[in-house]
Amino acid sequence: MNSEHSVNDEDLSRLLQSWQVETPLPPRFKEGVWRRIERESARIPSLWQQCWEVLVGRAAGLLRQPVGAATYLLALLIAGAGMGYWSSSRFANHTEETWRSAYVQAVNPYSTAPER
Amino acid sequence: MKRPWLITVLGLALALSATGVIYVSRTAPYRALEASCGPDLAWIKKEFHVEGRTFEGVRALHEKYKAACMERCRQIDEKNRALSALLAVSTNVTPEIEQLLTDAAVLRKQCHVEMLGHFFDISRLMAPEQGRRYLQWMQAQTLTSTHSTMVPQAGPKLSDDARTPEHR
Repeated sequence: MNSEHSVNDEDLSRLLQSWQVETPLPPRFKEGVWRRIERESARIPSLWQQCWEVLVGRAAGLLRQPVGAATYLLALLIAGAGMGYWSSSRFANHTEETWRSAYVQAVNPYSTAPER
Repeated sequence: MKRPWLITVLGLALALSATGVIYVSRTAPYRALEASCGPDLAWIKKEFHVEGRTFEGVRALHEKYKAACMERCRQIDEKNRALSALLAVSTNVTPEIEQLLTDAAVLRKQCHVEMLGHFFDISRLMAPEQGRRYLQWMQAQTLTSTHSTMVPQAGPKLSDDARTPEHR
């Protein structure tokens, strides 16, 4: 395996050495490349970006631990159940109110539709 | 890095499933009840715990009352149309107009009497405590003064002395 790699590397080296670039580079090409490299390395991420990266890193660290993952899943399960309970209670209240109005309107000809 | 994302997605799926299961299971009885007896009777059934044969009795009375009520409403509408036609060509209160107003008032009174009779009939079918509660609630809903529609809301309120006995 290694011998095969070294043979390939030698071939590749030979090939690269034989490669002649004939097209002239644009003026001050090297300088431009270095400037871009400097700019990228000097770039400071924004505060939000830093916070986000820290947050994601910490969350990922937490989720890698079994206790952290179990806590997260349990918390979301409870939150989901709570949301289901709350929305179904809203549905029940609204439905009962609609039924009540429907009954009063059905038996009382003088009733008016409730104002919403 | 793959595992945290997997757990994140799993957690969200778990939360959504819990919401869906609890919502569907807690609202299913309401939907089933409304589908079986309609919104008006569903309220009676649930609120006053009317079940079985008692509920069938309530349903029969309700249907019968509704049909009769519609007929009375039709008669009142007829009188109102006739009254409108007369008012369009009159310049003062003629004996015909007075007669139509009297007829409409008699029909409205009959309507009220039938409605109260219906409430008593329904309450008698219920358990005594529920029947009492039903009557109290229906009286509050139907006999409460609705003069707010007659007295301008923004205007000055009538003092106790200035009100007619009906307003007190």
